[in-house]
Amino acid sequence: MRKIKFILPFALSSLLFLGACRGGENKQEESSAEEFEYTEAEQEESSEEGEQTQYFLPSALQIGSVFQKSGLKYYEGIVNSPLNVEKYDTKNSMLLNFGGYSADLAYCVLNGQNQIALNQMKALRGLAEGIGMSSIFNSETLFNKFENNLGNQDSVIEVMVQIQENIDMFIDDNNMQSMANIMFAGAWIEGMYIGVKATSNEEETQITGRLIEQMVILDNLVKAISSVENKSGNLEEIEKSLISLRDYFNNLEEIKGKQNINYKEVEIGIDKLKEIANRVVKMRNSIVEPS
Amino acid sequence: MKKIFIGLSLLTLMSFSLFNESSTREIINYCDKENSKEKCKKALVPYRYSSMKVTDITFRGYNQIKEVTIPLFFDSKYRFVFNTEGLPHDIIIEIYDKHSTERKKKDEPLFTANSSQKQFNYEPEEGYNLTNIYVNYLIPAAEETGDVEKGCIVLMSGFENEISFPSDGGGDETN
Repeated sequence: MRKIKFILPFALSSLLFLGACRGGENKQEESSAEEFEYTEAEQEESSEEGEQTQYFLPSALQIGSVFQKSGLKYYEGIVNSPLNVEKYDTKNSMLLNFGGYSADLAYCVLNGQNQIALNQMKALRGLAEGIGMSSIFNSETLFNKFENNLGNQDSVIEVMVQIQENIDMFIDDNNMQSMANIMFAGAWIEGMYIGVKATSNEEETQITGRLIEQMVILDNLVKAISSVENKSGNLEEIEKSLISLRDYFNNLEEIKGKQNINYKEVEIGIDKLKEIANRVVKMRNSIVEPS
Repeated sequence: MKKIFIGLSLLTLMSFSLFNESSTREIINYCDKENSKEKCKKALVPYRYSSMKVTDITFRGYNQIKEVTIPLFFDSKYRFVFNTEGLPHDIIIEIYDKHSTERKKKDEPLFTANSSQKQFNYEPEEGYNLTNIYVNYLIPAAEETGDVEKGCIVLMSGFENEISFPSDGGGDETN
């Protein structure tokens, strides 16, 4: 009995130790299994795509400046009303319209409409709070700087650039690439909408270059949106519309099968352009007036 | 006596647990995004900031390729700044005019650099007729050190500031 008493603690500790080792092995096995799974997933991706692919999307300001270079003027009543912010109560709707207001803001600022731009900025601030990224305004510092420099175009643009940088950092720090993709979709669609609408009848033929050039991004945008897992709200509908627009465009006889096309020199019939324009308007309206 | 044995057993158990813990793989991340970002921004001047992409890299026991697709607007002038200071091992950076799935073996890159340069710029030639460029990061297999080594590349883009401000504030109303 005494022997048993003597051995028992050793036996117990040995069992515990073995248990601990086993646990360690399990842990290692688990981590190896995880690593193996990851590796396999990566290899699968590699075999399908040849590599891991990322998309680099331009800022709303750059898109705006491209439009401006092609002679886009300012017309009242095109941009989304800041009062509509109240309507956006789902995260995806907020993200899409955040992108949309960014494009509107760039359009207003680049055309010297600073008072309207301030209202767009307020809409952006409201949505940023809803999305949980109000920090992009550096505790209101950037918003105040924007407001206080309304008469100074260069300073206002500098604030926009700073906010864009903050958004990019926020997205990266929080691993929220999906959010950025949705925001960009909103910005791109709104930019295209402005391109369609800010055109008088005499300038109608000018929309060719403007719109077609933006189609360069569409393929990347479709891939970026397809990678978003949560397509709640009308995002799935938007994705389908974008895919449909891309397919329509890529199958135009002027485009089909060609690589690195000089879009400025491509001539597309006005009926086809109107079809593209109608699709853009429909998509944009479904974003600013979600059902 | 019994208490001593129990105490010793527990001590032994704790030592083994600690030993076991210290033998797990450690993750070492060499990425310093803030520092890289600041340096990229300085190198962007006089171009205006447009966008940024941080590519995280985990060095593994096999070769890897990561590709970044960048759309280009016709007639726009660009500068792309790469900062590779946050990498523990050298990699190769290649830029192509075709996606990797559309390339042939004989296709030469438009630009090649080694990350040992730590920071460098790429500016597409004027008059280029490209709608997209494709940045490839060729990541060689890393020797097994027992730790997981991570790093990052910061890629920042800028476009030439050709923004002009209207003197009259805009056009007519449409509706």
